[in-house]
Amino acid sequence: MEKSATEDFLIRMFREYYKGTRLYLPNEFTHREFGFMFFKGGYVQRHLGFKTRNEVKRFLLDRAPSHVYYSSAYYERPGAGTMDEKGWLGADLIFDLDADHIPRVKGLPFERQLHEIKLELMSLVDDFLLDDFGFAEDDLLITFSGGRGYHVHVRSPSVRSLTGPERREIVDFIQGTGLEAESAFRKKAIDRTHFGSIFTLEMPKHDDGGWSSRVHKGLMDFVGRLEQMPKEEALEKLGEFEGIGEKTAGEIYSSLFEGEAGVRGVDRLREGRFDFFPKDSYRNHLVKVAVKHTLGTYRRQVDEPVTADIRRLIRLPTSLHGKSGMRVVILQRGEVDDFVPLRDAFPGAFGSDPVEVVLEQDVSITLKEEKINLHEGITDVPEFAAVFLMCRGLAKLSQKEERK
Amino acid sequence: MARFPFLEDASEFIRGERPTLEELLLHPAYEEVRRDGMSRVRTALEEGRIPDGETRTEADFLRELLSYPIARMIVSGVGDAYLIRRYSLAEAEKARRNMTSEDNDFISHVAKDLGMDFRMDGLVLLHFSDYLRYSVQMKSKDWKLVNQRLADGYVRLGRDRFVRVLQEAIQRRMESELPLAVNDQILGALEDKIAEIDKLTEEKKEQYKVEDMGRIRITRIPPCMRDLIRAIQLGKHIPHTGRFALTAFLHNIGLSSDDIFRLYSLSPDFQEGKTKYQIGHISGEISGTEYTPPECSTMQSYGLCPGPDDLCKRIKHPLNYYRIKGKKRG
Ligand code: SF4
Repeated sequence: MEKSATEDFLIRMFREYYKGTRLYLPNEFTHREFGFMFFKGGYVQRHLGFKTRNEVKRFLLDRAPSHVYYSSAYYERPGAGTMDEKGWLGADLIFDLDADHIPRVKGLPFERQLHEIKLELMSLVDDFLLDDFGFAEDDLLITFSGGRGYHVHVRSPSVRSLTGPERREIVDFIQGTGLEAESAFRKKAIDRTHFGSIFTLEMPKHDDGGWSSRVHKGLMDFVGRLEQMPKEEALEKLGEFEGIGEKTAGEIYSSLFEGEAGVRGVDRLREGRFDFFPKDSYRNHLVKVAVKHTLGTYRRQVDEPVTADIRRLIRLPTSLHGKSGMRVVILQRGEVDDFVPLRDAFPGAFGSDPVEVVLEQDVSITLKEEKINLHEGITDVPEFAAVFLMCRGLAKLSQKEERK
Repeated sequence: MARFPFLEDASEFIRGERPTLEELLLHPAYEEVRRDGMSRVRTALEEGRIPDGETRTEADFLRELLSYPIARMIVSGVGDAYLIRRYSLAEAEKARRNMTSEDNDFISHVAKDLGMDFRMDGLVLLHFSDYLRYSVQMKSKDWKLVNQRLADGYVRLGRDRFVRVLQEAIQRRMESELPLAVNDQILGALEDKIAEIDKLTEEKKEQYKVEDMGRIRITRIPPCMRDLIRAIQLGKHIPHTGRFALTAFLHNIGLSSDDIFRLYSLSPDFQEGKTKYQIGHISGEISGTEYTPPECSTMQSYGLCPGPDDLCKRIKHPLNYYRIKGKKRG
C-alpha cells in the first residue's frame, strides 16, 4: 500500500516534469528504437518506434516512465520486433563512464565519485576524442547520465558504420590495452654486419602522436620525479617495479644521475638520446617502467560492452533518471568543468515545498548546495529532495501525504 | 593498368573501346583470353595465388586485362561463397605484389579509387576509421590501433603497411561485387569452364569437410560454436575472437589438434603454419597453458552469441551446454 503510494507520487512528479519540458530528440529519431522502464512492472519495454515528436510526448505523459532510452543505432524499421527485421543502418559511437567501472573511485562517497568521474570525462574528451581521434566538438554530445556518470555520444559520419570489433579497438586504445613497448621505443638498425643488424632503441618523441607521445611524457615525468627524490627513496621507487632488484635499481640510478650536471644520463635523455646505459638490460628495464608509469597515469576507463555494442539502448538526454529523479543533462564541453550534478541536475519542476516522508535510515548529503542531515523516521524535506530520496529507495511517502 | 583491373579506369577502358561482350565470349580471337581467365580462377582456387601474365606488348597487355572480367564471370557462374572468397583473396594479393613496385602517385590513385580518407607525402596519414575497417582482422599486435601513432584522427603508416591495408580493401571490394548477374549468354558460352570450376570447388571443399568430426556429435554443440563451424565451412571470414573461442572449445571437448586443423584448412585465408601455431598455442602444446573458451557473457559482448536457445538460458558457459547435452543422452 505504502509502496504503491510512493510510486504514484513519483509518477505524478515525473509526469509533471514531462509536461513542462521541451524534450530533446536525437537526430533522425524516426530511425531510432526507443525503450522504457516503469515504476510499476520491472520489464524494459523496447522495440518502439515513433514517427512524430508529438507521439513521443504523448507516450511520456500517458505512461510517465521511470527510465527512457533510445538506440545508438539507426534502423530502417526501429519498431520491428527482432534485430533482423529492424535493418541496421549504422550507430553512433557511445562512451559510458560510470562509477562502477572505474576501480579507483569505488568506495568513495557519492559526491567524490561524481567529481572524480568528471575528471575522467574531461580527459577522455580532451586528450582522446578531440586530440587523438580528431573529432570536432560539434561531433560530440556530452551528457550527465542522471546517475553516477557521464555519456558521450559521437555522431561523426566516419564512425557510423564501424563494427563491434572495430569499436573495441577504440576502447583498447583509450584503455591502453595491448600497448607494446616497441610501438613507442622503435627499433632502429645502426649497423649492419655479416651476422645481422645491430639495433638501438629510439626514444619516443612528444609529437609522435598517440601513446608514443604519452610514453614520452610518462618517461620524462617519471625520471623528473626520481631526480627530485633523495637517492634512497628513488631506489625504493625503482625497486617497486617487477624484475628490478637492488643492484639493477642502483645501476639505473647511477646511469641516470651520476656525473657532472649537463652530461649526466638524464640530461642526454632529455635531448632525446638513449645510448648512455652501460648495459642494454638496464635500458630495457627503464623502458618497461616508463610504459607502466604511463599507462597508470594516462589510461582512461570506459565501459567496454557499451561502446562495442552497436545496438545499445542509451538514456535519452533531458529525460529523468528513475533512480535519482535527476535530469540527463546535455553539457557543452565548456560547461563540464563547473557542472555539479547534485546542484545542477534537479529539474525546476520539482520545487521546495515540504513533503513529509518516512526515512529508512539516517541520511546526510548535500543537495542544491544545502547540507541535509536527516534522521530515520518521519520528517519534512523539500520536494526535489523527496523525489531524490524516494527514487533512491531511501524514503517513502508518509501516511499523511498519502491522504492528501 | 593491366595489373590493376579492378580500378575504375580499367573498366572504363574496357567498356570504352574494346570488344563487345559477345566478341569476348565467343570470337575465336579471344580464345586465349578466355583460357587465361580460366587459369586465373583455377590457380586462385588450387594454389591461393594468381601469377602475373606478360604485359610487355600491347597484345599481352590486353590479354591480361581482359582475362579479369572473364574470370569474374566464371566465378559468378559458379556462385559459391567459398570460391568467391578464395578468388578475391588471390586477386587482392596479386594487386599488393604489384603495388610494391609502383610509385606513390599510383598508390595514391588506387587508394582514392577505393574511397580512402588519407594524405600521402613520404609517410601516409590514413583516417582511423578506414584503418580500423581494414586492419581489425589482422592478428599481430603491431597492427592494433593502440600501437599506432594516431593524432588528429589520422594514423601514421609506412608505405608497405598502407599497401597491405589497400590489399584488404581490394579484397572486400571484389567480394562485395561478386557474384555478378550472369545472363544465359554468358552461362552458355562459359558452360564448360564453369562446370569445371564448380567441380573443383566442390572437391576442394570436400577434401576438408568435417562431417562428423570424429567422436563429436554436432547436436551437442551450442549454437554459437555451430555458427562458427558453419561459417568456416562456408568459407566466411571469422574474427580472431571467434577462432580463439572455437579452437579452445573444440580442444576442450576432446577434438585432436589434427581434426581442428582440418576444419580450418577450409578457410579461404587459411595459412598452414600460422594455424598450426595458433592451435598448438591454445591447446597448450606450445604455450604450456590450456585455454578454455570464454563464458557466454563474453561471447555475447564479442557478438559471437547468436541468441540463446532453451538450454542456453540455463547455463553460463558454452562447455556446459556440451556437457548437459551429453548427460541427457544417458
Ligand atoms: S548462450 Fe552461451 S552457449 Fe548459448 S549460444 Fe550464446 S554463448 Fe553459446
